[in-house]
Amino acid sequence: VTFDALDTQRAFRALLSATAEPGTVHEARPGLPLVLATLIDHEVIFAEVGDAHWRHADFVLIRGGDSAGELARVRQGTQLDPTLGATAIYELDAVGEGPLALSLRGPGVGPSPRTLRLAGLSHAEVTLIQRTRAAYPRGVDVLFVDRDGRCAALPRSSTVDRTEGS
Amino acid sequence: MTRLSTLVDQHRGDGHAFPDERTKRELRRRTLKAVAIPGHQVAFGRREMRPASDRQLALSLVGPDDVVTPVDQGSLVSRSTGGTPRPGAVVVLRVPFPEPLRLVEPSDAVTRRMHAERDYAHLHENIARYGRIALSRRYPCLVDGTVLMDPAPIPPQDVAKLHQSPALHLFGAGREQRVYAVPPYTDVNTG
Repeated sequence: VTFDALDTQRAFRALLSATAEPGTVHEARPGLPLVLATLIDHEVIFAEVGDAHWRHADFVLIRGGDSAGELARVRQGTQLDPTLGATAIYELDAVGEGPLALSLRGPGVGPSPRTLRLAGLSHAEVTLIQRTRAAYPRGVDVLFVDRDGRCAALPRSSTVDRTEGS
Repeated sequence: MTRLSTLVDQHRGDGHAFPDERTKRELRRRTLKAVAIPGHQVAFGRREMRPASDRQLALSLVGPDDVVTPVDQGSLVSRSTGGTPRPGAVVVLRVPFPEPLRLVEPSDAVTRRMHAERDYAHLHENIARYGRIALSRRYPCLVDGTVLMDPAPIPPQDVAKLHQSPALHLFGAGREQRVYAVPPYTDVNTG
């Protein structure tokens, strides 16, 4: 599949809006392939779970909602250069609906918490994501995308609480 | 009010290269990091990238559905006409000097450490002692309660409007190759 400049522009705007207003759901059809085409090239290190260079990656991909603990080993940046913290991309069953409800606070959210519903992200993974926020501005930025092309983001500046879920 | 084609023409008139897809990917990756860490100065161009102006930042995000309205020292990108930042709008501004600590510290390595340690007392002492005029008309503000940021070129009387603004603000410093951001609905204190 190839994408043109308009496809990636559209996808970037979806990701930008998702990051600027954490928990809001945007469209980047057809989903993961377009998101990867927009962000990944040979100038960045990209890894999937199990790859040897996982700890050094700028972008990690987790297909499904559980990294089997590996998220804890993703690069989180330094106090001097927190931008070295990686971006984790999760491909989930659904973004914007589902049994899991996350409550978000922080920049881009506004005075009351925003709820993001998801399907496919494990409880253990939510805990791992929360732990990446313990030493802000170090941390990991999170993007969610589903097979319908819906996407949302949890930038490291967001505080995440689980409100309900199966 | 302009569309993408006009912005492209203006950009060519500047004598800058139109950003290619590779340059745009790098700008976009760095912009997302800037939004994820409000107020933090993000360096871009790990390779031999051409200087990226605020206009290149704008070109990396503008599409055919957008309306681009010129504002002082930048552009307002939105889906509708009118010069007022609204929800979903992006304001891209040109920043001549992105480092608010430069007035008290010439070394980049030291200012980075000062930001990392939130060591802003020295600057505040200078403000207290000499007043704001001594800061060469620069008005640093505190973003998200943590990071000191230079809101130039926003005039001092308008900096308060950044506080909890419904629009995303992106600040591009071409010469110093940095981008920083204030997401919508973010605390900005002018102290």
